[in-house]
Amino acid sequence: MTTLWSFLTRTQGRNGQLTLTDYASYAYLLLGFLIIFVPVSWIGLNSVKSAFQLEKQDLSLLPTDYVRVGRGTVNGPDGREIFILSDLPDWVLNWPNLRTEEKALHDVPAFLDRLEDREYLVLRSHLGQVSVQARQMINDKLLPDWLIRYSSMAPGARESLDLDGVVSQLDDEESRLLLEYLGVPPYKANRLVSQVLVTAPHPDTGEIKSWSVASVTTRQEMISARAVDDPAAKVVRLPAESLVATSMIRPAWENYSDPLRGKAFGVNVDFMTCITNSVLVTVIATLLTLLINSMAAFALSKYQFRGQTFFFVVILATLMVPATITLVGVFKAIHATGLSGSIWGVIIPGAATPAGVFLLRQYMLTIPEELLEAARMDAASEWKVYWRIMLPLALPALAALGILSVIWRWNDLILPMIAVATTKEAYTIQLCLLEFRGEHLSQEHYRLAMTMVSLIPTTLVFVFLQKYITTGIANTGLK
Amino acid sequence: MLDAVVNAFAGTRWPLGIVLYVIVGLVVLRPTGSIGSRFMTALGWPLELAQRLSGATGLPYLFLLPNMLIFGLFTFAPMFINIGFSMTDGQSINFDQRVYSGSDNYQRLLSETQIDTGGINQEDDKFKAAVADTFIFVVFQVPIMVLVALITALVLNRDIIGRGFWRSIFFYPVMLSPVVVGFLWTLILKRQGVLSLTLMDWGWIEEPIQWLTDPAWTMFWSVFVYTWAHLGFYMLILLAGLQAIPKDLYEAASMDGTSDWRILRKITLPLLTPTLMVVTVLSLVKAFQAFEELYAMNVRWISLVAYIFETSGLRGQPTAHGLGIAASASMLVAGILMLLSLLQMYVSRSKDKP
Amino acid sequence: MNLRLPLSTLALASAGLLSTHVATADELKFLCYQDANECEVLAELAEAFKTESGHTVVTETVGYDIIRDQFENQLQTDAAPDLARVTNLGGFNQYYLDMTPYVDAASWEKNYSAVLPWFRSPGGEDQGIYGWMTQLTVTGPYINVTMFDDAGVEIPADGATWDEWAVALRAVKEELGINAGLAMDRTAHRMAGPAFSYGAKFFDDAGEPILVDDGFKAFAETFVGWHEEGLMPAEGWPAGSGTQYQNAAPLFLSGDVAMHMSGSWMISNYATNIKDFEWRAVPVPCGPGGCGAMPGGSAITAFKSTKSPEAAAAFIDFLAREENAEKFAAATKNISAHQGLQQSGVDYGDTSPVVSQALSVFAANAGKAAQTTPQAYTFQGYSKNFVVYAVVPDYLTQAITGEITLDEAYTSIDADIAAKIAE
Repeated sequence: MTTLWSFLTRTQGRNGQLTLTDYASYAYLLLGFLIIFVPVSWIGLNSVKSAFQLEKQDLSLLPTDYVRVGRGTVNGPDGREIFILSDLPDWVLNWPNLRTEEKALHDVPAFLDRLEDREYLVLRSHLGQVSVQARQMINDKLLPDWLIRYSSMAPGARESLDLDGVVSQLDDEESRLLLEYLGVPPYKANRLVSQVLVTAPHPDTGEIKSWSVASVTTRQEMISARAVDDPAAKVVRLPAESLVATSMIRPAWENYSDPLRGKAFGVNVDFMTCITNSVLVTVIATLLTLLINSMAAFALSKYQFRGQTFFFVVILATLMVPATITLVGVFKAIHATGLSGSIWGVIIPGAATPAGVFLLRQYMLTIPEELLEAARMDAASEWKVYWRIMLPLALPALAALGILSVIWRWNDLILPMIAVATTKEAYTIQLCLLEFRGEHLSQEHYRLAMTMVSLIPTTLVFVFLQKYITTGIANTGLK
Repeated sequence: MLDAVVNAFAGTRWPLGIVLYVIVGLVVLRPTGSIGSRFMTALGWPLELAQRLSGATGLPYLFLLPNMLIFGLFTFAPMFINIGFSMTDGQSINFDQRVYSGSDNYQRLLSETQIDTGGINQEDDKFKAAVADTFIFVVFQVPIMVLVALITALVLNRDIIGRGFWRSIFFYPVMLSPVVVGFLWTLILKRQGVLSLTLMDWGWIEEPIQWLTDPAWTMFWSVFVYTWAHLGFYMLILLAGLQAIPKDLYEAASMDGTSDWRILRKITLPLLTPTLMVVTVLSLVKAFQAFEELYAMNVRWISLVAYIFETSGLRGQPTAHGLGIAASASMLVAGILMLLSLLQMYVSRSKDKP
Repeated sequence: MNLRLPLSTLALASAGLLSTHVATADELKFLCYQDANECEVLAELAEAFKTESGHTVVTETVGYDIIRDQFENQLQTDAAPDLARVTNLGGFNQYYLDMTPYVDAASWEKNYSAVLPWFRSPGGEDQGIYGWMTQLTVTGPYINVTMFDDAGVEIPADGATWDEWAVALRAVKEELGINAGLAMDRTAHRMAGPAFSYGAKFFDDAGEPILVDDGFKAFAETFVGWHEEGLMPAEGWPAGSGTQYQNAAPLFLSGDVAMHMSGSWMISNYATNIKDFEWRAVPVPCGPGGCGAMPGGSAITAFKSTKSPEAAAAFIDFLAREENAEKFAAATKNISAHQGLQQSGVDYGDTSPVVSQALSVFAANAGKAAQTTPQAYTFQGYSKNFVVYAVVPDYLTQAITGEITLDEAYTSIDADIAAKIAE
């Protein structure tokens, strides 16, 4: 704890008085805090919103949900009947979202036994019992087999089948069950949707009543509502400001737990492998990058040799070509050198960064020649001068490049995709995150949560390395 | 987890190669001292040997060698392949299935009439629009970015409470992937996003505004979000550069009672120039190549790299000449950038040597 | 001595038998992507295949982006697997293995005649059998029934035209004060269905692609008009630029619009996610040119570079059998491309009636399109259709926002498409 506290409050010593520049600095910091910290933490809050909220790009600050009631629709020969069901348990309202194991926990037939009439009909449909009961009935009563396939047949094929004949053999309840199962008009599927329970004054009488509305987060001025206790009444338009709903914060922690426990639907990646691969790639690649970039920068900054401008220009030139097109060439090169299919194909090609060489060279230019001369006069070889003198002096720039390299490698999607597209054992974490995206469906809630998880290592690295940027020669100066 | 480690190292010959390399170094040089220094000395055995055998003249080339080797294979050669694409026709990425066509692709990119069909050429309009829009973006983006990064680095270099924490905050957006940045700012800036709704609640605007695609606002927000997302990168470089300025200079100046502003102008900025040049050149190059965040946010204008990306058909949907045209566009972009960077470096060359 | 000979002969004979058995048991590598559970179901079917034939199929499930972006590179450098699940059916034609020598061509023609042309190269001479459609996707609209109920507007019946739907949607929008009536994903793939309904032919009598004909113009004008009057939202097509794809699902899910012109792939998404309003798939609206919808889907194909063509073709043939196709369709809740199954129906098991009825509506859409706007099927098989999908939104958006006139958009569309497909 004390180390954490000292990290947070470390300064290089204060002399007590706050000048104008200090005030300006603190004001700037506050601005940055608002503009940067608040949006970034909002991403974190978004990662625990439910899948539905993320799909519809819900703008709420926190993952909130409201107290809900059920609105049932029953279709019949007399038309549609719409009514409100309050006091339904949560698991009924959330039924489509429950996983199979969770659904098995509830005794659905016992629950349905307690209901009657339209409540029974609508909940029977909602809880998936229509197909179960209908198929049971078809079995028991030895009704024709083609009934099971009826709803997916081509319209032309249906004409040759005698549905009415079958129906006429059944009594009212049974024929209703069968027609609901088949979706034959007028018995389209009965539905139960969960709407928000609000209280508001009735526009005509002023009496405070309970209403059921589709959503309270829309920007419409007038919202359609149905009275909870007066099912036969018409739809009423209520002014949006007059609605009062009870909200609660319901974070969807399963966004995190499902993928990590391997329970995310349709996604079978082993996150530990992904993270291990990413760690290996990042650590080895960063060390390699720091080594060879600093060697090159050392040569370009501290020596005069033929072709030094040429090499420097070449290195800069490679920065200029946008990477999107050269990817094809990189793919061919990786394939030709036999590096594809293993993580070394990710580590090695990206190790020579032009920006890194550039950055280190500029920094090394500011290191006085005298320090190197002194070492050379002590009969140190160039290699020794390099790693005993230059590297420690260049520590701030090395730390900066190290941080950047870690982040580049950790977040890099393109190079791993080229190098190990189909070798799943070598997948880095960004490739694993791609698994959440199918052609038409994208499980954004899992992706976002796992992205947040993948941010943890880079944060730790930054926090650890950033202090090295401000140690170093600042205190040595010219001796 | 252990399997992954084993897999990585057992798969290819590379780890073995590295171990052998270090062993050779230990044998040849027989270094003394701590393990760390022995390892480091062993790493450089080719250079040590070369120096002992033929002196220090060839050494710079050896220092450059590993970097240039990887460069050559994986960065430079692809660039030549790119040039090859721009001068050949066909949809395949294999050169044996492409036909040499000289400057045809450049003509398809730049001329008014389409050379294959004889009709109007749409590519040149799109390309020129992309160049113009990207240019405007760069003109605003680079000065703003350098200025903000400089101010931030200066502030974060001072004695303030919780300096590590503030640095983490300003740096954090760099760690977010462009997809996440796009997701976040789309929620804020879409037509009925957080910004529009908040401004409507405060009564500042009547109708929601489509910040990202409204012609009046799209450039502003593009620059803003891009700066937001990449500030930390340049701030970090400048922070490092600020460390090269000896503290005694500051102490001497403050003992003389110099104001902060004069210290900034006379000491900090001049000595920061090499790093400032890195930041400016990098910022210029990267701004010209801005793509991912803007693409994720669906802004109204099409940046150069977005144009190249869409035209190339590398998403498994090749058009008749798309790859060649995109390659030509990328070569032109590289040419423009090279000129601009060289110009910039020439102008500040006198300040290069300390 | 006399005893040994028979023993050694026996040994040799059994070794011979063993070796032939080993020689015919190939291992196939199959690259798959899934939206829900398709690859898992395919892996189970592969197990059944192994029991029957002895060949092993190793299923590697990767993200869709990998197949979309990297697969062609692999094909071009001979690093490709034996089989893959692909979506760019016509575009990969040059890499496919022709399975005709290994399968019963007549039964394939009978059961998959509508979709086989999608794999073939253009021109008509290519009559090869190249792959098995894992599912058939169809474009079509979804509506928010709760909104229609609350607004008191009647839902137009089966066979209603786009104009009638526009009237109904306007009424819903007026009554409820919602943002817009209809939202369409930003790609010409969704627009093609309505365009066909308005009479667009997309191909002239010689089979050459033409885009801007009278029918297309009629729909384009209507489409731009809907945006201008506010029936379609400003967050949809106008909010993108260039060829960017945008999904309009967030607008539908958040209650911004009453109808979403999308396709059958959204069924499972909507069935799982939507709890707070009643959604329904409706039959595709009609027009003077018919009731148009775009069919599509992904398929499993084998590639020429495979070392075991017989085994690969045998696997695909196995999957294409009626009983296995039905198993796959039922387990993944998809529409099957097997024409026999389309006629006789699939037993979808315990699926909720909502989902099975949505599936049947979309299957009926495909049937209607095949009858009234057959150019939809031809267009799906046209190997350069992605050029049209990408180019049209670019210029139509500019026409909607007023940057160019509709006539300029037409000229630009024609010129751009011509340039992109000119050899």
